[in-house]
Amino acid sequence: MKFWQKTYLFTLALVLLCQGGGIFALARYTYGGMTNAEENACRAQFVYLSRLLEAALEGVDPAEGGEEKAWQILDVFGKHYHKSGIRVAVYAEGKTVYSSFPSDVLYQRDTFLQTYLGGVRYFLAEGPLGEMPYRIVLGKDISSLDDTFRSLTRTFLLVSALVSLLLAVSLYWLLKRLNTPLGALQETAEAIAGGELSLRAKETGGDEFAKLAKSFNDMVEKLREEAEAKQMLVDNMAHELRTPLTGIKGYGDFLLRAAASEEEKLEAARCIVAEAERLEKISRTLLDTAYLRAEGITLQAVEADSLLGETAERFGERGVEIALETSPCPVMGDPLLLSLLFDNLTDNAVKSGAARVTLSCGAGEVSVTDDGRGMTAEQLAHITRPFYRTDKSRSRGEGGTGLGLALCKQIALCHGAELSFTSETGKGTRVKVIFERRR
Amino acid sequence: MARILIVEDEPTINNLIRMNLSLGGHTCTQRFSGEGVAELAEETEFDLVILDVMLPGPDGFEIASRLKGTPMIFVTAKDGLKDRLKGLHLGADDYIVKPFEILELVARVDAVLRRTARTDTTFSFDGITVEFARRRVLKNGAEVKLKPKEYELFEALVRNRNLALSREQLVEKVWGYDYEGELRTVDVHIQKLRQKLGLGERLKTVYKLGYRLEVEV
Repeated sequence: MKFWQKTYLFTLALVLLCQGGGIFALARYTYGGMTNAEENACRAQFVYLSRLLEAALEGVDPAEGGEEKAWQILDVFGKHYHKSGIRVAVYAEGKTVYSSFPSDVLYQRDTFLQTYLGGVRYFLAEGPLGEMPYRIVLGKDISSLDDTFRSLTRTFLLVSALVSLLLAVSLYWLLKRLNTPLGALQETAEAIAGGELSLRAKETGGDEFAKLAKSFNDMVEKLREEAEAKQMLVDNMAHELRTPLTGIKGYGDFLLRAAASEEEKLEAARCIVAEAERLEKISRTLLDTAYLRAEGITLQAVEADSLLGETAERFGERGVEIALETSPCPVMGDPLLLSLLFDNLTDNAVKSGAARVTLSCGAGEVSVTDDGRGMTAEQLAHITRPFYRTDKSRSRGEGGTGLGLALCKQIALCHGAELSFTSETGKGTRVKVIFERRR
Repeated sequence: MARILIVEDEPTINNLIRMNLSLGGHTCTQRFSGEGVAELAEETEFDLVILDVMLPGPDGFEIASRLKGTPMIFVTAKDGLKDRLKGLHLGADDYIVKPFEILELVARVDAVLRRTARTDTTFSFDGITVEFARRRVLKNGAEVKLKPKEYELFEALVRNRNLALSREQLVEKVWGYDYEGELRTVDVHIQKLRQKLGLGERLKTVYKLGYRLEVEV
């Protein structure tokens, strides 16, 4: 069952239950109150009537032939009170002197109770009439009480039925309306999952659903970008692998088939080896990057400034001026990997056509700055992507694979460090390795 | 035979093409970027330009639009229909996708040269002359009677001179893909050719590979 349907039924059931319970309790309470009031009235009436009849029967002694007289007096009262639903019965020594009850009354001395006589409900009271030998029983017809209660209950039920109906209709409508954006979102999600990656959910209205739609759209966009980046990586990788393979196969084929000079055959063999080396470099770098991502590194205390000094030495003979500006820079990391990182960055700097490359470090940061050809913002956005090269032919000629910075980024990640690039075409580039601030 | 300009930025591939086409006697000029290529082609007459689409500097398509009149073959790693159409629309005579078999490139180059009449209609060596248009072979001026398949086999060897062709490849080229006969047929025909034309050492049997017609270029 759908969520909104569950909500609907649950809410409706809850309201009806509360309503029903409430009405039931209210009715019982009202009835109780009414009954109490009636009871009190009856008691009062009993007292009053007892006194009245006591006075009326003053001096009339049933034992001395007063029965007839007593009956007459009582009859007047009886008929009078009959109209108000009150019945009187008077007894003397076990014999009924008068009774306006429709049938015989069972009574107990000095009691006040509710009972049914001939299907009608009465309050019954029994008591003496003063000092006289009479006993009186009064009964009040309280069936009107039941009638009132019944009509009250009916009214309550009618009202609650109307309210329930109103609630049922409006709640249904409201929930259905609220559910529409959810349904639309779900359909859109299904369509996107089915392959229509350009669809987006509607973001109208300012409520939570609009926010949900927006977050959803952002997520889809992010996923699409990721998918595109992955595709580009795969395309680039295929291209990078295909070229050396074409070369190897082609030269191999040539060696087999061609009636060529010794010189040409030697050249073909040389090219095969060179291309194979290139493939090896690519696969090794890819494996290293993957290994790092999976395994992580073990940290030890390292002096970044001394590592940087070693890098400067290694690149000293490249025809580019290397300046070293270091201050103590202790970091936690793997010395071999950090050396590789620094070497890679310096290599890029040296190959950028710079006249001068500055290696500096201090306070948890290592920088490699060059005054070479620099890069555009567009290029900066892509440089750490695997196989990306700003200038293909130059890079390949220099033995580059396009993977260096991807590996650098992975090394930095493993050290909890960040690579930051600043560059301007024609002016130069600065790469900063920012290690986590020590707490 | 023909003057061919190779424009391909990957030296590996560029050299490979040059080495193979040279076997056929063609003269190859190499360029490794798009810079100055259009100018060069306007100054010098080439019989064919082999052009990579993705080049540093002006790319293949840009150069192509300036090379009207010169036969062109595009070489590229991209196999999109759009690129193919663009290339053909710009007047390319053929299109080949990397990675390619070198024999395929040689065949396509040959086909384009033939189609655009930039190639010689005959080929001669050792007093033997093949006349492609008339499908006949002359030895010292006199026609040598060859069965149709013998001629076609000889033509295939001539067109792929200095490159070894396997029996399977020869069967494909001469008898077609559907030929159900044995590869021995090729051997028999080769023998016949050797006899009739007195090819001697020229028609070499290359161990484990096939046959190769060796001529100086």
